[in-house]
Amino acid sequence: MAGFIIKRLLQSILTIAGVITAAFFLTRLAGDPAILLLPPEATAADADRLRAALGLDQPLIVQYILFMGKAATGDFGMSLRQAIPAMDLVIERVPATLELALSSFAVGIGLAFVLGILMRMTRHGWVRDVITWIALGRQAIPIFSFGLVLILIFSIQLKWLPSYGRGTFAHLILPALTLGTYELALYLRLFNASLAAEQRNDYVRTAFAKGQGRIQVLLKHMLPNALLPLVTVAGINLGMLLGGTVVTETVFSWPGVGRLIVQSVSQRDFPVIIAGVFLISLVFVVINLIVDILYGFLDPRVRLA
Amino acid sequence: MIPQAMPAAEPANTVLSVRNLSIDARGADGKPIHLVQDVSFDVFEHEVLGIVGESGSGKSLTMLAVLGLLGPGLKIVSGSIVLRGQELTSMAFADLQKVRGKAVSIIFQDPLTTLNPVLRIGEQIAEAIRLHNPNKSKAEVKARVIELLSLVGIPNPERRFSQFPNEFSGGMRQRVVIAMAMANEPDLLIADEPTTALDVTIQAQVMQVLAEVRARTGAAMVLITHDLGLVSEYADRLAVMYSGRIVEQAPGEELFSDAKHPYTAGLIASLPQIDHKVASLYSIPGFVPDPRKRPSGCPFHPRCAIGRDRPECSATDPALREITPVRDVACHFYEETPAWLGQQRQISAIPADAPEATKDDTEVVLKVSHLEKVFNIGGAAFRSHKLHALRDISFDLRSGKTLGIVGESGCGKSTLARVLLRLADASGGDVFLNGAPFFQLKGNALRQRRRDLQVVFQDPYSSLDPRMKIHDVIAEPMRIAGSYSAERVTQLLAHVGLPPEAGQRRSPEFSGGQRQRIAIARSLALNPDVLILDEAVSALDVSIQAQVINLLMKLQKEMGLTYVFISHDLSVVRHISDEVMVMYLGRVIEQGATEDVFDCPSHPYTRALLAAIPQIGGKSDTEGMIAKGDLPNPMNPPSGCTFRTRCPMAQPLCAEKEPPLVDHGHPGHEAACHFAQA
Repeated sequence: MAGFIIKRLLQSILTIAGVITAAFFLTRLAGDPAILLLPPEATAADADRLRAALGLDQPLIVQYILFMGKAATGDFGMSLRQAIPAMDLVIERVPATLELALSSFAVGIGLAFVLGILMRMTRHGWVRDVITWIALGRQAIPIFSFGLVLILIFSIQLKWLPSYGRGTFAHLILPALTLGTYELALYLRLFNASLAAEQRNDYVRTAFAKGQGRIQVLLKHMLPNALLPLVTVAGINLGMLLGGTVVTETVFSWPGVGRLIVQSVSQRDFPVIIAGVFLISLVFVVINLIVDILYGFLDPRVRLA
Repeated sequence: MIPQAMPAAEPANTVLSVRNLSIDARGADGKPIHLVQDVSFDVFEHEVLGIVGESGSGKSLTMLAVLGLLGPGLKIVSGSIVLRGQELTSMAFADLQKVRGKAVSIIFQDPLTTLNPVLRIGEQIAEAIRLHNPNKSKAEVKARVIELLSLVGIPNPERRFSQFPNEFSGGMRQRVVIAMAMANEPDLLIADEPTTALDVTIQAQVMQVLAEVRARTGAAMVLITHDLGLVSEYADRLAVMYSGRIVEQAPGEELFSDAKHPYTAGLIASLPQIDHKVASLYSIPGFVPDPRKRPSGCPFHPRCAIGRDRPECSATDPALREITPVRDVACHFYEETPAWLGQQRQISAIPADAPEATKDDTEVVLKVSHLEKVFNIGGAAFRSHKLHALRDISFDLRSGKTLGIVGESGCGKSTLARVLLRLADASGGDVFLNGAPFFQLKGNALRQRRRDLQVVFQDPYSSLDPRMKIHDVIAEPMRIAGSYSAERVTQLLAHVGLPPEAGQRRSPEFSGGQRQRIAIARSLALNPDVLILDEAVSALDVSIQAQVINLLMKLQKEMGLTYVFISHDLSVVRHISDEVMVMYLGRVIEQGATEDVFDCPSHPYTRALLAAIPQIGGKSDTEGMIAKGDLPNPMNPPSGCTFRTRCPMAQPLCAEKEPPLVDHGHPGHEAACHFAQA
């Protein structure tokens, strides 16, 4: 177990180094920030002076080596727009992203869990059909239009909930529902398929043959097995939620990391982009590690080595 | 023996009484598909009723119906199931729950899927106890579980109690399943192919455990299997099922010594024998009919040697009728069956004046010398374990001959096939194909020479691409080699007994036996010299297996093919092979001419394998011959002779020194044992 974690941590460092390397070169492809930073009437000499000040006049490979050396110590440089360290700008946005990601994750997984079990337990075919159609229908609507519809109904018509910004629990409801219900369809489908696959296993028939009841067979025997594929997908998805809820954050003017990165891209604020990407890749790697460790606990067949 | 009318009262010793049971499935077009039709039988106290039949005969469905465990879409349409005086077909779920696991329990085929992988063994058995004894305390339940575990012969039951199924070997898992089934001492135990997923030495151990626990509780048992040898050895009475109905019922010995239904007789004639060689096997033509397209009259008549051309058989379906107080048969002409079977035995017997097997005068096609294969298990960076999968394998295979390779799972026989095919790289040793070195070849030269060596795998379902037309499946090797011709495909189809139209269809439209024919046709497309047959007939039903074996032997004779025939089934190996190699933990422990190895086995492992095979007709004497315990961990094999931990004759010397593979006074017949019998 300890050996497994050390091995995975070493792999993780390589992964993250690879990601920020790619981010470094890709952002350099986006164009020259000096032009954007300077007022339109600035001369070519002004631009050269700015480039020298930012270190952009050096050969790319030198820039890269200097950058990686600093990054290793946690220094991603100053934001080109604001005189604040890039990392501080990103960290400032983390609580907002975390709040939205975790709450929508909980909405998606929680609903999928309840509805999935309901679909297995019900004797009425129409209940299954209705749940399936609602979940599919929700997934067919893009995030931005569903979010706008929610705003239209609950903020503008009914005036129950705020339509933008962050602060109170009421602010959280609409974005979390928008994102969470989108996730729901995926989880529900997967959960249902894996429950159906487990149902065909002999251990289910054996449990019935022991005299066990339907609910106990479902909860005690099938559920722990059916959760395994769900854990993998949920882990990947949580990582995506933590990094890329850009559309939802934009629709609800939610001050999260995703929106910060998008803004930074349009402003060619390289240090902030890279710091954001670094943080997201860190989150991904950590979540994947947690999923693998969780697997070892959930499934005795998995040996962590 | 079976009253036609519903009985008013059961005899007191009747455990289970099934009458006129019919089970339907809902067809795609809404029309019902009759899967089980009008099946009636009784099971009495203390007895074992064997139900035999091929896949699709309805044998498992019948017994699942007893437990009320029919899958969705299947339902009992008529008939009754009475267990100890209680009618089960009309019982509510809540009442059925009290019967299941208490009065009747079931053992499924594959212990790997029967046990829940995420629950501890102890809990899975305890669950069965608690459900029917809610008043038992936690300690009482645990004590009972440990008692059950030791009853089925699991060492260290206290420690094993809290382990997970993946920490048990296949044989140990099936013992756990037996413990679970016996938890409440049921009146009736249903064993559905209980040993089919296990190796033959483990099968013998598990059947022994089953007999012991039944002897203690007096439970009756229904043993469902496709293995005629197994039922012959363990069942008191037998019912033979075909296409959803019982076609013959008789006491065990009588059924095998005097089969009355032509289907039963056909099955017996198509089984290869372990104790003697026959010239050829009888094979029942055709295949089990699709229940949606059952033939008119007797469903067996199109395949029947006796009734095929008789109008009566195609017009009227014979009822199951009593011919002696203990025998029933469903056939218009059952009196003719014994004469037919006698005739078959004469045809298949090797004439006494048959010439000796041809001398080894042909040239060596495949020469293998000192082949080694080591796997590194686990991460390369940290500690890695070495698994010696093949150790010092050598043989010469002559043109037109068959080398049989036998051994239980984990012995390295499939690794050998992969290494010979160069699908895996050898760690040492050499292979010569037609006299030229094969292992040093690379790139284009390898691709050219590889065509001389082809393979047929075990599972014809996964070895054929379901989206490709059969014509393209067979043509693919030729297209790669640039020798494609449509006539050649047709010719190959004809070789394996399929019509030219078959080429235009896709593999899902074919049965298992037909698919294996297609796989054989594909392997022959490039005119190979050597075919590696890796368990090529193991997944097939008995009647189909005989067809494919006969086909392989015919092709060998016609085309001069050389076979490496890998199988766990010793009877089939005996029938088809000229020479045999017995493997254990990656090593050859005995090798020689087939007759020598089977008639005078030198190595105790070979003797244990042979003794463990259930035989038709008479219980074999296996006392002291059963290999003890399980296969040792191949990562950490025992010192000296690797078989010593399971060997009934092990001595201190065996732990110190590994015996070399040498002959013991009979040139050409070698065994690796310090105490080999000459």
